[in-house]
Amino acid sequence: MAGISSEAAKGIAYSTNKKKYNGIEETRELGLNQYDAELRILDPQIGIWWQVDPETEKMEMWSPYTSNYDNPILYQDPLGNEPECCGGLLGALADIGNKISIAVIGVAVGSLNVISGGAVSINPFGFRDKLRGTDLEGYDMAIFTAQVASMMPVPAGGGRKVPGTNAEFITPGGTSVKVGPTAPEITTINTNQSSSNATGGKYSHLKEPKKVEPGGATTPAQRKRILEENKMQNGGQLKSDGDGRNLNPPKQNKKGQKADMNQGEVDHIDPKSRGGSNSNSNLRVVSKEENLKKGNKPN
Amino acid sequence: MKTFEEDLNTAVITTKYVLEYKSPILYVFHFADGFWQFSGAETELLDEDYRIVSLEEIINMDNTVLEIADLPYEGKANRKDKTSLWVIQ
Repeated sequence: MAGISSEAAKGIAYSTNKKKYNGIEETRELGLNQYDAELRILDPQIGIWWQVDPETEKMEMWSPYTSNYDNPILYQDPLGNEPECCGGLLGALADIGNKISIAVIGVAVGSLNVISGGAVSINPFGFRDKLRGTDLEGYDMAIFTAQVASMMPVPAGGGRKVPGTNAEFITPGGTSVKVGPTAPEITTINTNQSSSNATGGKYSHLKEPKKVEPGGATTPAQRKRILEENKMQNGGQLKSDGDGRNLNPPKQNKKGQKADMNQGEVDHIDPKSRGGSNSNSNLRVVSKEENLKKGNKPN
Repeated sequence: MKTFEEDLNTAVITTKYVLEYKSPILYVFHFADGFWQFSGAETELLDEDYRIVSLEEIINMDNTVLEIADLPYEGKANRKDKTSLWVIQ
C-alpha cells in the first residue's frame, strides 16, 4: 500500500513533512542529520539516542540510550522520554479506552457533556498531552474535578471555557486541558481568588506553610525570602510595596553579634567588686579578651 | 513620645490586609534579626500575603505604634483592638 508519504502534499502551500520517522522531526539544516525529539536527539545512523534517557527509572532493563526498545514498528517515542506502545491505530484504541473510563464516571455524575466528550474524542495524538502539560500524567486523579468543572462555570478569578470542546480536564495544578479531535488545548486557570487584586500574589510562588497563630509571625527564613524576592522584583533595590520608596534593610541584632575580642575596654586595675575605685589611676584600657581572662582578679 | 531607633526608611514587614485593606495593626513583632513586623488580626498568612514597607509608612498609617517603639529584640506586643493599649509580652 502506498500510504501517504512525506512527499504527498507538495507544492507552494505545503512544506515538507519532516516527521519522517516515528513522529520525530528530522533536522538537516546546518549539515545536521539527526532526529530532534522533544527531549533528546536520535542518531539515525546507529538508531540510538545521543543522550541518556531522562526517565531511566522506567526502563531499568534497557540501556538508557536505547530507542523504542529496539522496536520502532511497535513503539513510538516522539518525546524521547519513554517508548509507548503501540503507535498509530493501537495507540488510538488505547486512548479510546482511556476516554471511555472517563465517560463512565461521567455517567455516574450525570454529565452528558463529558460522555460525548469521552466517546467522540478519539485522540490519536494522546501522547501529546505530555508535551505541553505539566503534570497531565496525573489526570486520572483530576477526572472528578473535570466532571465538576465541565458542568459548572469556571470559577471567578480567571480562566475561560472554550465552547465546542469535547472534554475538559482540570489537573491538580490548575491547568485546564481540553481534549478534542485535534491536539488538546491548554489554558491555565487561575484559581487564586485574591488575584483580582492587582498587587495580590506578589510573593505567591514562595511556598510557606500556613500560619495559624494570630499575627502570623514570620520566620527568619521567610523574611529572608520575602526580602530577596522584593529586591529581585525591584532590580536589586529594596523598595516599599506601599509608596515604592527605596528602603534600608533592617539592622542586625547587636546582641547576637560575636564579640570582638580585640575591642578595647576600660578595666579597673583593682576590681570594682573588690572595692577598687573609679579614679583614673585605677583604670586602664585592655582588650576584651584580656579583660575576660582576668575576671575579678587584681591585675 | 518614644521614637524608633531605626531610620524611617527601614524595611518592615506588614501584611496586605494592613497595607491594602486597612486592617488595624494588632500584633507587632521585633525579631532578633532586627526586623519589625506589623500585622493585623488575620491568621493563616502565606508568603504572598506579606508586604514590605518603610517604617515611616507604618507610623503614618497608625502612629500608636510609636508607643512600643522601644520593644526589645525578640519582643512582641499586641492589643485587642485599635483603641486598646499595647500589651508587651
